[in-house]
Amino acid sequence: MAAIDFLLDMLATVGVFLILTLSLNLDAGYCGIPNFGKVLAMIAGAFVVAFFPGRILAWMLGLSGDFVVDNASMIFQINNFLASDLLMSVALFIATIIVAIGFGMVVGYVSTRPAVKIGSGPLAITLLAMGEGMRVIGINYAPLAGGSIGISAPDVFAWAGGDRFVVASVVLFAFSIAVFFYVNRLTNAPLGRMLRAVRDNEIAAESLGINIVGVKLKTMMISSAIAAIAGALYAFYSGAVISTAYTRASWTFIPWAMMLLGGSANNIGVVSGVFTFVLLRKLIVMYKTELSPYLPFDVLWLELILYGVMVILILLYRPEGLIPEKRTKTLDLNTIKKLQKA
Amino acid sequence: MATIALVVGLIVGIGAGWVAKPAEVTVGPGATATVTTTKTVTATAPAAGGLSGEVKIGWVDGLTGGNAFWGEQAMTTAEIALEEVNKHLKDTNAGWTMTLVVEDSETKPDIALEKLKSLHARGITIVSGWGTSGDLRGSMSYANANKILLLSYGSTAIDLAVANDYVYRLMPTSAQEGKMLVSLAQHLGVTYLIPLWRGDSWGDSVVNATRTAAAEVGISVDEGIRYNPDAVEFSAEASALNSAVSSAKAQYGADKVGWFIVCFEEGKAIYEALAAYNPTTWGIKWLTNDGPSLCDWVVGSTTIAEMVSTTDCIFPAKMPTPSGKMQEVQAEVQRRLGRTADLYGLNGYDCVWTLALSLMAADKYDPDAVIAQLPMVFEAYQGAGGWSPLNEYGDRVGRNFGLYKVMQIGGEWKWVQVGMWDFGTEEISWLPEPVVVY
Amino acid sequence: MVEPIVIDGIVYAALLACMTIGFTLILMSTKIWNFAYGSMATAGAYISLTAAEVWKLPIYSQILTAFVLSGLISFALYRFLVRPLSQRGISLDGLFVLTFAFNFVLLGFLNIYADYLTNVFKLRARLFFLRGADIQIFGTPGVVIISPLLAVSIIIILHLFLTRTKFGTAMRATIENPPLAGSVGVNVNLVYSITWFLAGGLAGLAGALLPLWILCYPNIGDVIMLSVFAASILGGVHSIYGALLGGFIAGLAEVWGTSALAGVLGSAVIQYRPLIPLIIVVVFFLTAPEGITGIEWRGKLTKRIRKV
Repeated sequence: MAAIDFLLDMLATVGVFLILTLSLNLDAGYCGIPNFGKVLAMIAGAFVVAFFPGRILAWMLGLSGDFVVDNASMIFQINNFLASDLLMSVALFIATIIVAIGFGMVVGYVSTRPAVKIGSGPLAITLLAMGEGMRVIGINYAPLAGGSIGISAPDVFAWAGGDRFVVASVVLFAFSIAVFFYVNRLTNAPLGRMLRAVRDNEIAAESLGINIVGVKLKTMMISSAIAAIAGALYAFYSGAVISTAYTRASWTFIPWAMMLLGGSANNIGVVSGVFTFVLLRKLIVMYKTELSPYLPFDVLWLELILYGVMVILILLYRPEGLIPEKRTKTLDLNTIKKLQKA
Repeated sequence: MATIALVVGLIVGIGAGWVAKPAEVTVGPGATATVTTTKTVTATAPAAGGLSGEVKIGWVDGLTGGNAFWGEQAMTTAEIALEEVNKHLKDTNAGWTMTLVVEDSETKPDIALEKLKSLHARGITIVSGWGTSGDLRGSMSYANANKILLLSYGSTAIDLAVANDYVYRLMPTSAQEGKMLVSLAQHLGVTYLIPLWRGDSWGDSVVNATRTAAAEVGISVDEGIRYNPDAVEFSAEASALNSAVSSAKAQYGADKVGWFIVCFEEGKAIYEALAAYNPTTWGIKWLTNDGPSLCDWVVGSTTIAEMVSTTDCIFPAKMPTPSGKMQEVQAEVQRRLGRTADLYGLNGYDCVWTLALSLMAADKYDPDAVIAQLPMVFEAYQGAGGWSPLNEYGDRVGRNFGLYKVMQIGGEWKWVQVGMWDFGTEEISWLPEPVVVY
Repeated sequence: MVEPIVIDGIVYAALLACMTIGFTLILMSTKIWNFAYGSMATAGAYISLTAAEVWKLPIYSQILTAFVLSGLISFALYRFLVRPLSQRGISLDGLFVLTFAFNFVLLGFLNIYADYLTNVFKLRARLFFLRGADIQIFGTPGVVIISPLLAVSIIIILHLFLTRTKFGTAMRATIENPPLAGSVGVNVNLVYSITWFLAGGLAGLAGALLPLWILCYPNIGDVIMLSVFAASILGGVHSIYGALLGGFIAGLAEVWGTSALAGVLGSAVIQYRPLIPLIIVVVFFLTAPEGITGIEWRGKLTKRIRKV
C-alpha cells in the first residue's frame, strides 16, 4: 500500500518536473536563453485553471454567489456534477489545457520580446523579476486566483472517486512522456541544430542567415507553452491554485538543478536528471528522521542543508551532467538517410 | 465499553483538574505560576487490542518562511503534549507509544503537499499541524481522496468549512470573529471602521468576515490598509493609516471612527512605526483582532503599552479559558522558548491530546475510526485552550472572546480582562472590576 | 518635526545602499549574481542579536564581528566553490544555481543558530527587533544617523582604497581586464578573494544594523535580495558609486514611492510594494541597462563616476 503511494507520488512529481525541465532544456539548454523565470509560464498555466473552468461551470450550472468568496462550496457542487459526467470532465480538461497553451505562448512572447536583445545576465534577472512579479500580483489580487487564500480548482478527475489521485498521477506522467517525445523530435530536427548554433555563437549564426530574434522568440513561445501545461496539470492534480506556492525556489531553481544534473541540451539526460533528483529528494525527506538521534540540532534543517549540498555536489562532480550533450546524434548519417527516404 | 469508560474518565479527569484549579491565574513572563499538579488523567484499564508499538502522527507546518514564529510555538506545545501522552500511555501499560513525524512546509502550499504525500507513503494517515489555510487548502484534495485525517491548529478561512471531509480544525472560522468585532464597534458607537491587516489567508478572512458582518448592521468599513505578510518595515502603512484616520475623522467625527489591526508578532514593528504619528491624539476608538491580544510583546514595550492604554484599546481574544492546564502548559512553554504561547500555540497541545484520546478510544490506526471519535472527544475536552465542541463542518463551533486591556498597575504594564463576548448570545458583558491576567 | 516617513525611508535606503555596494562589487569583478548574498546579511543580524541579548554588549561594538563573519562566509563561497568551478569552465548560469544552492545551506545553518538561541538563551530568534537596544543621539535613534553615515563612509573608504593604494589599483585593473591584469603580475585570484571578502563583510555590516530598524528572521536577507538586485541595476551594475546611488534611490522609491502612490491611488496599492523593485529591474534592463549612471547625462561628473 505504502509502496504504491510512494510510486504514485514519484510518478506525479517526476511528471510535473519533467515537463518543466524539458521546457527549460529547450530554451536554456538548447537555445542558451538563461530563463530564470521558468515559474512565470508555470503560474500562467495555473491561473488559467484558477480562472476559467470553475467560472464556466458555475455559470453553466447556474450557481449563485461570488466565485472567489464562496469558492469551496461552489467547487463542491461543481465537483459533484463532474463526478457523474466523465465526458464533461474530459472536455473541460482538454479545453483548459488548450487555453493554457495559448496563454503560455502569449506570456512567452510578451516576456521575451522586449528583452531578447539584452545580455545574458540582465535577461536572466529580468525573467526572474517577471516570474516573481506574477506571484506578487496573484497573492494580492484576489479575483485572479483567490489571493492569499487561494482557490480550489474543479476536479476533472472526480469521476475516478477514491482513485482520483491514481488517475491524476498517471495522466500527469503520460503528459510528460508526450512532451518528451515532442521536445525530442523538435530538438533532433534541424531546429535543434539551429538552436545550438544560436546558443554557441550568435554572430556566426547570424552570418548563416539565421534570424536570431525570431528563433529565440519562437523557442520561448514553445517552451512557455509547455511550462504552462505543467502549471495547469499541477493545478488540476493538486486541486487548488494558491499563488504563494509559486516560488522561484520550487519551480525555477529546482528545474535548473535537475537540468544541470542530467546534462543540458540532452533530453535523455534531462529525464535521468529529473528522476535522480526527485528520488534523492524524496529519500532525504523520508529518511532524514532516522538521523535525528545523531544530530545535535533539529533534523529539519539537515534537510535544507542536504538539499543545497546535493546541488553543490552535482555541480562539483558532474558539471556536464549525468549524460553529457552528444553533438553527433543529429548528424548521424543513417538518420539523415532515413529522413531523406521519408 | 472499556474505551468509552476510558474517554469519559480522561475527560472527567481533565475537567476536574480545571475546576479544582486555584482561581488566580498568573501566566506570562517571570510569573511564578501556581501550577496545578493534579494528575488530570484517571485512566481505566487499557483496552486490549489494535494499537501497539510506535504509533506515528504526522505534523506538517510552516517552520520556516512566513509561519516560522507560530510554527515554533505550536510545535513546542505539541511536543509537551506528546511527552504527557507517552507518560500516560506508559503509566497505563497501553502497549503503544506515540511519535510525531515533523515536516516543514516552508509555509508553501506545494511543499506542504509534497510533505503530506511523503508521510502518506510512509503509511502515516493522521497528520496534524497546518498552521495556515494556504498550506491546508493545497493538501485538502489529496487528503480527502486518500482518506488522510488533517487536524489543523491554525486555519480559520471561512470557505474551507466543508462537511464530511477529512479536514478538522481547532479554530472556529473567522466568521465569528467578524461578528465579535462588529458588535464591539457597535457597542463603542463606531459607525466607520478602518482595518489595517496582514495580507495572508488568516488576515484576509478576518477582514472579509468583518465586512460581511458590518454590512448587516450598517457600519461602513474603510478600504483599509492591507500589508504584505513578508513585510518587515511598516512606514508606508503607518503613514497611510494616519491619513485614512484624518479623512475619516473629518467626515464622521472622531467619536464615530474606529480602527482595528489584524496582526501577529509583526505588530510590534507596526505600533513602533505608528508611534511617530502621535496616534494617542487621534481621539478615535482602538480595537484589534485576537492576533496581538494577551501577547507579551505588547506589555513588554513601554512605547506600545503606553499607546494602547492611553487610547483604551480593546484586545479581544478567543478565550484560551484560563485554566490550570493552560497555566501548566504556558509555564512549560515559557521554560522552553522564553515566552508564552497564544491560542494558536496552545492549540498545538490540544491537537496532539485530542488525537491521542481519539486513538485510544478508536483503538486502531484508522483515520475513519479516529474521525468517528473526534466529535465525542471534543464535546468534553478542556485541554490547554478551553472547551469548544466541533460543528457539522468539523470546525469548532465557537469561542467566547475575552475582552482585554493594558493597564499600568504598580508601575508595571499588565494585561487585564475587562469583559467578555459570548458567542451564543453574541452580546458583550463587562466585568465590574478589571481582572489582572498577567 | 520631520515627517516620520522621511526618516523611515532614509534608514531603509541607507541599509539597502550598504548591501548594494557589496553585491555590486561581486557582480563587477566576477559577473556573478550572488543569490546567497542576502543570507550573509542575515548572519550579521544574528550577530547583533547575540551581542545585544547574549553577550549584553552594545550592538555597535560588534559590527566588526559581523563584518568579519559574513566576509569569511563570502570568501569561503568564492574560494571553495566558485573558483574551482570556474576553473572547470562552468557556465554563468551554473554559478547562479550554485549560489542559490549555497543559500539553502546558509539558511539551514541560520535556522539551527536561531533554534540554538531560543533553546539555550530563551530568546526570540524569529521576528526579532532591537530598536530598544539602540543608542540615542540627540534624541533620535542611533541607526537613523549612523546608517547613512556608514553608507557614505564605506564609499569614501572604498574610493580611497581603490584609487590611492597599490592593491586598489590592482583591483581596478582586474575588474577592467582580468587576463591583462594577470599578465602584468597582478594576483587575480587574491584580488577576487579580497573582493568577495569585502563584499560579504559589507553585507554583514548592513545586516548588523537591520534589526535596529526592521523585524528580522532567518529569511530576511532573502526577502531583501530582490530590492538589492533592483538597486544594483539602477546603479548600472558596474559602479560602486552607482550602487550607492541606486541603493538610496531604490530604497526611497520603495518607502516614499509606496506612500506617495497610496496617497494618489488609495491605500490598496501598499500591498503591491514588493512589485516596486521588480518593476525597477524590468524597466531599467529594458530601457537603460547601464543604469542611471549610464544614461547619457551631460557633464563630466557622471563620466568620471562611470570610470570605476
